[in-house]
Amino acid sequence: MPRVALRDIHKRFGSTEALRGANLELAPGEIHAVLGENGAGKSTLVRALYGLVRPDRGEILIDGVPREISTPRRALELGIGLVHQHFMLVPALTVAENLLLGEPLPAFLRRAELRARAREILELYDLGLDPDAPADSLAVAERQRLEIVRALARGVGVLILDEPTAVLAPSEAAALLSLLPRLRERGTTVLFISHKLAEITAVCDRVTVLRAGRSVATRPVAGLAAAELGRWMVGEALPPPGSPPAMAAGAPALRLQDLRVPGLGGIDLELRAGEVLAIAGIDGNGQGPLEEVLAGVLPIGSGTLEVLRPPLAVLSGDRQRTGLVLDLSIGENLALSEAAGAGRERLYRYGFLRSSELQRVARESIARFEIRGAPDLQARALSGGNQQKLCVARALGGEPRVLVAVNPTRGLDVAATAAVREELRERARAGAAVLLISTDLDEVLELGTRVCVLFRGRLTAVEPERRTRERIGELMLGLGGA
Amino acid sequence: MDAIGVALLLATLRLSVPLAIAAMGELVAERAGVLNIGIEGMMLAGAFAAFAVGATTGSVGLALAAGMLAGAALAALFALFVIGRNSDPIVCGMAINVLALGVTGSAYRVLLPAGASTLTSPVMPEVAPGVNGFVLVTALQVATVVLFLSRTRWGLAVRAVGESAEAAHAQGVRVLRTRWAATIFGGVCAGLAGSSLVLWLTDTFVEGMTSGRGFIALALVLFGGYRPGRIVLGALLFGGASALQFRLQARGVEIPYNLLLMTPYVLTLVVLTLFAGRAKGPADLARPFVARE
Repeated sequence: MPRVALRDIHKRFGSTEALRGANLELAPGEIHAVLGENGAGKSTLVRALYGLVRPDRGEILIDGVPREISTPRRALELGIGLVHQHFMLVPALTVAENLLLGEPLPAFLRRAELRARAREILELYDLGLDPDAPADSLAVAERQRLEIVRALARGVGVLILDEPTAVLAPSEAAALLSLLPRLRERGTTVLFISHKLAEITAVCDRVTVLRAGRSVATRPVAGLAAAELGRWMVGEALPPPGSPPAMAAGAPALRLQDLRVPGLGGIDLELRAGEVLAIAGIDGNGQGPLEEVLAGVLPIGSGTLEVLRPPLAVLSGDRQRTGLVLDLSIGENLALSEAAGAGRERLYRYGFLRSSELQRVARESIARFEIRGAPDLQARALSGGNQQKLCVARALGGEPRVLVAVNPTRGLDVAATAAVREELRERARAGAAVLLISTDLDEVLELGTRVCVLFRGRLTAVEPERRTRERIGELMLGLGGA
Repeated sequence: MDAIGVALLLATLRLSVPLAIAAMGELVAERAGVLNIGIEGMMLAGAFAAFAVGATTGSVGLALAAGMLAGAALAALFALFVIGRNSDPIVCGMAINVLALGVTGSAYRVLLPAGASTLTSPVMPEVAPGVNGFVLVTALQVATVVLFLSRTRWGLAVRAVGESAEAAHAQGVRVLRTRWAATIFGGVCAGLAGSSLVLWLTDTFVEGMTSGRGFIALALVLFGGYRPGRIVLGALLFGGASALQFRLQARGVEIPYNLLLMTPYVLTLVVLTLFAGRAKGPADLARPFVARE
C-alpha cells in the first residue's frame, strides 16, 4: 500500500490552471523525486499535501485512508513534514523557540528547559547550532538543516523537500543529498522536488514527472536515461502551430558585448532587424537580471549594451507586478508608458492629461488588440489574457524597433497565447527585432528564428541543425556537451 | 515628602494607570500582529458600561465586569472584520472609535434625559491611601504580560504569529485563534482602562471622556519599542507630566495654559524617542493572513 497517494489533483488560481490532474504515489521508505519545469505545478502539489492549498478536485490518501488535510497542523498529525523552498523560520525567534514552536510544550516554559530540549534535539541530529541564536543570524544551509531537523524531531514519516538545493552552494547541496539515504535507512519516506536531473539520478529511487499541471510518468530512476527524463519534462515533439520568421539578414538592432551583472556572466548577443531571437531556459538561470538590465532597471556591471535601432520596448510576462498598475484604468495604463512616443505628447496639453485623447487612444488599442473592456475599466477587472493584451498594446504602441518579450504568454489560454505570438511574429515581419526570453519551450521553437539557451547566467547558441526539443532540453539542464 | 509631593505622586498614578492598562492590552494584540487602533472606542465603551451598570446597581464589581465585557464585545466586532474577513485594520479601528462615540453618547442621553437628576457611579475602594484595585491590577497585569510573552507556550505562539504568521501556521500554530484571543484580551484591557476613568478619576460619565487616551496608549506601545517596561515608564512619564501641568495651572504660573497642556505629549514623545532607540515592531503587524489558498 502506498504511504501517500495523491489522485487526480486539480487546482486553479484565478485564470491559471496550476494542476490539471496530477497523480503521485509514495512507497514506504523510498526517496521519490518530482521533476518538472517552473510552473509545472510541483510546489502547488506538495502544498496541497501539506494543507496549504485547497485542491479543487481529487483526493489524498495516507496509508490507504482518504484524508482531508486542511491545515499544516493536520498534515503534521498525519506524519507529513514540509521544508519550504523559501524558509519558514520565524526570524526574530531563537533557534530553540523555532525548533519547539508548535510542539506540545508545557504551559509555562523555563528557559533552561527549552534550551536543554533544543540542545538534545540538535545533538541527536548532529547539528552544532546555538539554541539561543536568533534564527535570522543563521546561514542559509543552517536554516535548512534546522528545518529538516525540526520536522524529524516531530516524528514525521514523510518528509517533503521543496527544491532544497536551489538555494545551496554545490558543496552544501552535496551534503544535503548525502543525508537523504540516511533518512531512508531510518524508514523516512522522502519526497524530493527538483528540476535538476543530476540530483535525481544520484539519490532518488523513483521519479514522477510533472508537465503543465499533469503527471506524465512515474518510473524507477535506475536505468533511466537523462535524455528521456528531459523529454518527459518538456513534452512530446508536436509540430509547431506557426513557424518562426525566416532568417533575415537585417541590420543589427541590439548588441550586447560581454555584459555582466550579478546573475549574468558575460552575455554576447547581436539581434538583427526582422528576426526573433529566442532565449530558452529554466527560470532562475539569469532571465530576471537580463530582463531588468534591458529594461534599464538594473545598472550594467561591465560590458556594453547598445540599442542600435531605438526605441526599445519591454513586454513583461509578470503583468501583475511589473506590467500594469492594476488600480488604474486601461487608458491610464496605456498613458503610463514613456515609450508611447509621438502618441504620448498628444495625451497632454500644458502638462494636463487630455481625457478625450486618452479615451481615443484607449479605444484604438482596445479595437486593435481585441481587449475585452472599456477605456475606463480598471486593469484589475480584466482577465489574465486581456491584461496581457493590454501590456502588448502598450509595448507596441510606441512602434518599437527593438522589442524584448519576457514570457509573454505566461498563464494565458490557448487563444490568447496564439494572438500574442502572432503579434510578435507580425512585428518581426514588419522589420522590428524581437528578443524573446521564455521558459516555454513550445514558444521558443514556434517563434525563434534563432534559439539560444540561458543556463546559470550564460548563453549557449543552439546549432540550427540540432534544433530539437531534446537538444534544447539537454542544454536547459546543463547537459551541454557537444 | 511634603503634602504637595504626595498629591503629585497620587495624581500621577491616577493619570498613568488607565494608559498603562490599555497599552498592555494593545501590546499583546500587536505582538500577535493585530494593529487595533479601536482601543480609544473600546475604552469609551468600557467607561460607559461601567458607569451605567455601576450607577444603577451601585456595585463596583458589576461595573468592572460590564466595562471589560463592553471592551471585549467591541474587540470581537473588530476581530470579526479584521481577522475574520481581512478588512483594513485602520478603517475598522476608526469605525469602532466613531461607533463607540456615537453609541455611548446616545445611550447616555437615554439613561439620563436632560433635566433628570445626575447619576453617580460608585468609587473603587482604596486598600491603602492612594492605592486601589486599579493600581494593584496594573502591577499584576504588567508582570503577567511580561511573563506571558516570554515564558509561556501561548506567549511564544503570540510572538511567532506576529512575526511570521505563515511560518507559525506551517508549524501547526493556530494563527487565527491566537490573533482572536490577543485581540479580545486587548479589548478587555481597554474596557478595564475605561472603567477606571469612571470608577476612579471621576464618578460620572462624560461624552468622549477618554479624550484621546486610547491613542496615547497606542503611541506608548510604539514609542516604548513593544517592551512592557518602557511602555509603563512612558505611561508614568505622561501621567506625571499631566499631573504637574495641572498643578502649575492651578497655581497660576505665568505660562500660557496651552503650552502647559502640550508638555506631557511633547515630553513623552521626546523621552521615548530618545531612549527607546529603533525598536522593530512585529514583522507581520497589520498584515492579513490566508490560511489555505
